[in-house]
Amino acid sequence: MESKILEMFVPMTLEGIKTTLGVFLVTLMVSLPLSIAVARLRMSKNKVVSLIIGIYIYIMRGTPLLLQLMFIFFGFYYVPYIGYAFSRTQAIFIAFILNYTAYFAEIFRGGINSIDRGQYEAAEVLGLGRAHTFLKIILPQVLKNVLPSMGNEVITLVKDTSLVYILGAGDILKAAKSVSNKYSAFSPYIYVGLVYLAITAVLTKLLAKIENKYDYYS
Amino acid sequence: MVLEINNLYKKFGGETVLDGISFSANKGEIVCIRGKSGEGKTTLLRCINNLEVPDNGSIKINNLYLFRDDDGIVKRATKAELKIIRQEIGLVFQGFNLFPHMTVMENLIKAPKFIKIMPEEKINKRALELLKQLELENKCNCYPFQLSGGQKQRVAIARACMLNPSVLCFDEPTSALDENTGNQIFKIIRDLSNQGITIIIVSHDNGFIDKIAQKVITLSDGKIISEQQ
Amino acid sequence: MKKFKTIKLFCLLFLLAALSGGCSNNKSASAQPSESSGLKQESEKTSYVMGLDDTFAPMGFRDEKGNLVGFDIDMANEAAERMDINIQFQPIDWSMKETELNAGNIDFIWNGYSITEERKEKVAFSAPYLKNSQIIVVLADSDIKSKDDLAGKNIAVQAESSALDAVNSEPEFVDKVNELTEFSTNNEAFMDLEAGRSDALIVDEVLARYYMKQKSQGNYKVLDEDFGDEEYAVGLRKSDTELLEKLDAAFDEMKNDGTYDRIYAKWFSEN
Repeated sequence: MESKILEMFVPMTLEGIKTTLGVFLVTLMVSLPLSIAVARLRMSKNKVVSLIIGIYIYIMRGTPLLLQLMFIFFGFYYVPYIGYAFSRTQAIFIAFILNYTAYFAEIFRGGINSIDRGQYEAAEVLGLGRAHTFLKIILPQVLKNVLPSMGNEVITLVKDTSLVYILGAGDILKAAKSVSNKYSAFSPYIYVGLVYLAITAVLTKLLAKIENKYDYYS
Repeated sequence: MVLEINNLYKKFGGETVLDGISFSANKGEIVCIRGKSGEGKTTLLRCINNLEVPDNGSIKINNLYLFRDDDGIVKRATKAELKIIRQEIGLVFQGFNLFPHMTVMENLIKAPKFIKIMPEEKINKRALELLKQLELENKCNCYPFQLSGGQKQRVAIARACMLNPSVLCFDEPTSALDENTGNQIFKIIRDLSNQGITIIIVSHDNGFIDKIAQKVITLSDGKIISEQQ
Repeated sequence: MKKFKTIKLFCLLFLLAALSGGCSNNKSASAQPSESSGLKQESEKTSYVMGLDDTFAPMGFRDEKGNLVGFDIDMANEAAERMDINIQFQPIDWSMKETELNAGNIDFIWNGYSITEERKEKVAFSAPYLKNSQIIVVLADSDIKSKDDLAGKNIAVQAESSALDAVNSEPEFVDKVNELTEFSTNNEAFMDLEAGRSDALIVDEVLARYYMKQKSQGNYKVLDEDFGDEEYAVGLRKSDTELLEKLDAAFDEMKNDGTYDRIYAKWFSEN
């Protein structure tokens, strides 16, 4: 029986992993650069901008991602004037990106704040220009500081991908459920647990490598 | 007259920190500014380096106005003028503020490369020359955290000198160092002065000031109370 | 500086591509999920979407190869042919079924969907196509023999199911049991029964028979008493009256020409 379960489990999981990794990668690739911009906006001297971004971050961090998925797909259509019916894929990407950008932005904000003013002043006195100073002097230092927290969020993201079930999308957890229901067995859930662990192990190793690379100065 | 300060005023909150400061410095002159803590020495230095904007008065470096008094309103130099002024004046911070994620060499060549004042090979050559002068040639690939306090200071000096400034400012150069390195810094500043660079030093180390200064300006309550040669 | 800008641009382009694409998940030979914005489409549709929980055996679920199969799938394909429409299958989360229907994302709720009074207020039902009852399943060695024996015991049901509705319709019973636990799938409820945490399971007979066949009939016992009979039907939007008529007509045809019996035998033959 177990071999039959595995026979169904493997191809279905490979199918589901496209969704799991797809959501994971797109969210990361868009949220990371976007969150740096959002962090800067949050730190803006313009009180209005700072407040609006602050509210956005508060909503994203204050409600479950699951609820955000449901709202963007089912509820956004009814919003007056700007209501629009997103497709399932669009809703998934939008919810994940909005949510994770907010979390990353807060981490970056903390990291940027922790950089000594002297760095900015030294760069200014040397005539390095604001954009160049931020990108080449400040940001590299920030990245080193925020790596541990970011690593945590990245690993959380892998697990959060399973929330796509609410919009009927098929990730690896849903694949396990399909197999489990077909054979009335529990083992598929154990197998998918191992798959998650494998993904997390690879990620953890990668993050450690990156942290090491940044550890060339203290 | 390389540096001309005229009637500088600066208020922080309700407190007047600079109250009509005027003085000047000639080419190669070593000017020391002293006074008790919080008497405005650092503010003066920061204004000269465009890190603070004065409320009134003017600052002229070589022949360009960094701040100009226009009927009571302080006008700042234009962007183009600032680009030149930044190269004319340098600052060695009290905490050095080296870029920790870059090697000594990279710290030095960062600004010249960005401003593109010279072709790249020339920049690298100049950097190595300066490091040699300051006895740091074998540290060019080290990171700041691997250096001692005195070494870091010399890197900071080299970094500021890369842009060929006419005026080089020092904020409390002896505060972090022991007596030995204090002597080293004395020699370095003397050398720079002999090369024609005007030196402005803010310090409360009276022993050091007595040794090195050619002109001493004492601040109290935001005013200059004495100027000696 | 330039490198950073190109990375940002690349991300933006990728995002735009991903958003406009709408890549489909869950590809399988016989089922292709679709994105529809039903409410805004013309009434002249030829393609309809059936929403289902694709893990619900034996009504609509995945076989060993990952293809979408089941009693409801076969019924839907047959009916669609007779109605001369295209039908596509969209996996949804069962708890969102009425929301999906009313939002226009799906046109049919067709997945072992029992007719209940509350549901009648939200959707329109087709003619029933399968009889079902809510049975009580216990482990073979249990000493529970009747409904009354369930007093003080732990009961498991599937959340949002008509099994739960049936149980709740007998409040005196609900008061007498110790704990009533809801699970998102019947599979989980069965697991709880096997683990001994639940003493009995209230479940659709259709479903229970499938699971018990999978495991081993001898492990379980079905009590004589049950929580009532019910019927499966297809749920449609109340406004889709024409569609409902066509569907009912198709069902009639299928019952009369033996197609229904053939499909029934395929899935529910008593082995």
